[in-house]
Amino acid sequence: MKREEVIDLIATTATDFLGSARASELGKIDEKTRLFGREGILDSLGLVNLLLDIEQQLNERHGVSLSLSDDRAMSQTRSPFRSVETLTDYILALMHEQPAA
Amino acid sequence: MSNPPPDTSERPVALITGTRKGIGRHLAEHLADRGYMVVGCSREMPDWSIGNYEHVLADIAEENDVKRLFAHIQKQYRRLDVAINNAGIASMNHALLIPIATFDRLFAVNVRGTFLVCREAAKVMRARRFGRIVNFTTIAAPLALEGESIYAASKAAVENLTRVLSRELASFGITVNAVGPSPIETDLIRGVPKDALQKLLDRLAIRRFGTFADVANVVDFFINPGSDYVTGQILYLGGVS
Repeated sequence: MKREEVIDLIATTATDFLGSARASELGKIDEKTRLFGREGILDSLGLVNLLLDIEQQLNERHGVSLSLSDDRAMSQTRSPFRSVETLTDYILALMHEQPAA
Repeated sequence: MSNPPPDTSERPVALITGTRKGIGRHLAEHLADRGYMVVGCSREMPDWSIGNYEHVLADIAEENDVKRLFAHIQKQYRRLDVAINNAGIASMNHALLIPIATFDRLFAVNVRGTFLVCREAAKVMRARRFGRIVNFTTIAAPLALEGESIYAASKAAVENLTRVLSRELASFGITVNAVGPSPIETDLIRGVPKDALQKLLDRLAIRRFGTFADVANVVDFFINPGSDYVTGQILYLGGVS
């Protein structure tokens, strides 16, 4: 998957999860959107739900099986899931580490 | 996994670990009788088969095996209503004589395996906002039985895991409870001396061996859709508290 496709998948999944009313209130979700922590659009439970939805979408739409689990997940400053940008980097790095099928 | 079962989209699906024999086999038969599609697993194939049952070879201590098991459930049935963490191993020995390899394997199956199945089961259950997870503990934990140090310690870990997960998974509509059987005449206690078992029975309020039906009765209660306000509970059989 290309970087733009991953960003689009995260943005679409987040919009679906938040619901159209909340999503339009927040404006366009793009690479700079903060997901979690200070000024984040999600609380901790929302982040868990979003990550599981993204895992499911990656698997069902792209045949990619990833586990978005990390010890730093709930860290305000070091979480790889704190923004769309860092989550995209994280997903691409995991995909890169996977052995070719 | 080579023979796909019939269409089960409307039938509730239950996963039971450790179904090759003993309590796991009995629960598989019980839930299949009750109309569930039962997926069972163990490291070796069972020497029995029934309708509405599919067996998957898996070592629940191995993350890849557990992920493969749940990928199959998701693909084949697209739902999971019940997960019963029955698989477990016991060790009866004086603490000073326990090889560390025994400790590692026992915790790998009883704690790591239970955690992995809970984690992956909750991911599947979350989609329908309904799930019932039943873990297995033992009366050896509250009774602090001599000779069962690592077994009791591993099940104490399962009990706390059950309590914490009940809180973390409540918002997904998933309940997490545990049943703690008293001694049941299965392979797990085959090597235990008779006088030791009698001493144990003497510590119960109801002084008899437990039965498969006693365990199934508690499981039925926990997985009943009407038990949606019952979570984080540890229920011991035989009158231990």
